[in-house]
Amino acid sequence: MSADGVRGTGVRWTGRGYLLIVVGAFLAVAAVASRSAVPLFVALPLLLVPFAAATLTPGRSMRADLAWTAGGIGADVDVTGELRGSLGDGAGNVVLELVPPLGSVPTAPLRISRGHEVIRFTVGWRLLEPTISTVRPPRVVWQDPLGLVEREVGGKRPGLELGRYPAEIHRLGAVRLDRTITLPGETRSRRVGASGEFYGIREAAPNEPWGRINWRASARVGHLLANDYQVELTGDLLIVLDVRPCSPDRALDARLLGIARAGVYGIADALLHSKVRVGYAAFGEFVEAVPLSTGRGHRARVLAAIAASRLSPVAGPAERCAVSLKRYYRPGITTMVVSSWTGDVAEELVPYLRRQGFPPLLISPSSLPMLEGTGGLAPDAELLARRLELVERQVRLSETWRHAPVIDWNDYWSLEGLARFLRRPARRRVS
Amino acid sequence: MSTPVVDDRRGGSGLTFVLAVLAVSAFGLVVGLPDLLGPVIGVAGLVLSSLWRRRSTAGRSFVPLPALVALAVLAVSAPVVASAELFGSFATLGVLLWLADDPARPAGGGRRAARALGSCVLAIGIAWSLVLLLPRPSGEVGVAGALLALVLLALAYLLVREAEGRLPSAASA
Repeated sequence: MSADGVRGTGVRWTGRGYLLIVVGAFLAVAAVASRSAVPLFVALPLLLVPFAAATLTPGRSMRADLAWTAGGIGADVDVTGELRGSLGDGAGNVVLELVPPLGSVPTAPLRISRGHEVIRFTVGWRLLEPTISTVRPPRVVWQDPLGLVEREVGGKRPGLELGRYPAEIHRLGAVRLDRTITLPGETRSRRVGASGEFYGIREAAPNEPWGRINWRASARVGHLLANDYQVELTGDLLIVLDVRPCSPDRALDARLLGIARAGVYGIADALLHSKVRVGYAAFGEFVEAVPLSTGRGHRARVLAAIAASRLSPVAGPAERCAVSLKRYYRPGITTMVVSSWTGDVAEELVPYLRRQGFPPLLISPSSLPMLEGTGGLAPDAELLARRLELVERQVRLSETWRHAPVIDWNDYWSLEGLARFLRRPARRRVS
Repeated sequence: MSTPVVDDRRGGSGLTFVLAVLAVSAFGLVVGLPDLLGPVIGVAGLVLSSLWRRRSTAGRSFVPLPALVALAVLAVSAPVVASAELFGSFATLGVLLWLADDPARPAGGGRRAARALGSCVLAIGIAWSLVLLLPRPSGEVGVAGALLALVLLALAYLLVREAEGRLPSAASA
């Protein structure tokens, strides 16, 4: 059986089956104790029917393969699916149990229509926040009409990949990435022209124009190398996801990380589609990195790494992250840090990354929308508390602005701030 | 948390409920409790179970509990007369039939449960035949005979049909 497959199980009695047997047994004992046949007559069907139901259960050959897709826009998820297989006359007795993804509310019930050998279903959910998750396939169980015995139906049932992130991210691919701030000691070329500023040397393509060949370098290595210029590049991007626990509330951290992960997933996906070289690093206690590259294989590798990122049990020092990144990436790459860190200011990643030569841009998902209304305060006090928290957050972010541009991610379903910034990065230069 | 389910052909027609109420009321009347207490207890148990099934999704396995408790109370307090035995078994069958017609499941639950309930009807029929044929103090022998006959029937059924993996195993229980 494949990883997506479910094995049919043996027949099990349900709680109701046990209940009938227990009540039947109690009545049988009562009949003996009271020397009356009436409880025995009442007990007779209760004791017999679970066994009768068990013997009438269809065999293990019953199977149902699942095919399902998720539609809808933004936060709305419309799922349609079909179970097809050898259901026989058992289709009417097949029960579906579907658990909605974490952080979602049902908007439409699970609607089931049954045909011969096929069961179709639809269901609707509204996601409370962006998410990247795999929805577990529905549990498909044959259950007798009285609900006394059941058997899991085997078959191929893959999980449903669900990726929802802010819509603006889809348009990021059109943005030409540039470093947004100069590195310490760097002087930008003022030369204008088609070539732009020299970026590096690469293998020459077979139809490379002669003007781009770096003859000295080619002579040294023995094959043709060509110059790369910044104007020709869409830019490289290193995405650093901060998976350190940042507050005592682990559930809140996990939710924030889920949102951050969805954002990172969307950004990486959009940019990799437009041939940008993207690297990904998750920093918890240590750095887990996927090197810079592009292409279909790399896209799958990066997206799988992002989806697999989980909250780290221990927070590593920020300096370790900055130093470790130098082992995997060349300094100077535009570095997008996605971090909801609210702990010690000295442990913020941005200043350390900049010191190590990675020009950073911070995207900071805010926890304030999640905390709304959880304080148990009167409406006026709640409003005041929210404003104070907002001011405190703004002060913290303004500190970070000294080192790098900051995108305050307050509305989880919009990253307009990032899209706007990337379209006009020059206006946001920091000193 | 599970998603609420709506089937295209939902069960739960009121007919089975009416049948169950009639059967339980008849049993309650035969029991002979004062002031119609018998039918009231029986119907109250059934109504509680019905409300539980319609209003709540929690603990659906134990929905029949109030109705079964009511049946148990009536059975224990019933006099040893043939009509009480007859109506007692009919009342249980009525409750089981109502249980099969679940509004959360596709329509036709009663029809699909016919084979399982049919074996119970058969057992009661055998038991009743023996009770009527044998002298009165041997009524219990009738029930024992019915159980024995059912066991023989089940064994014959299992021998004819491929039995592998059809009965609940100790491990799965």
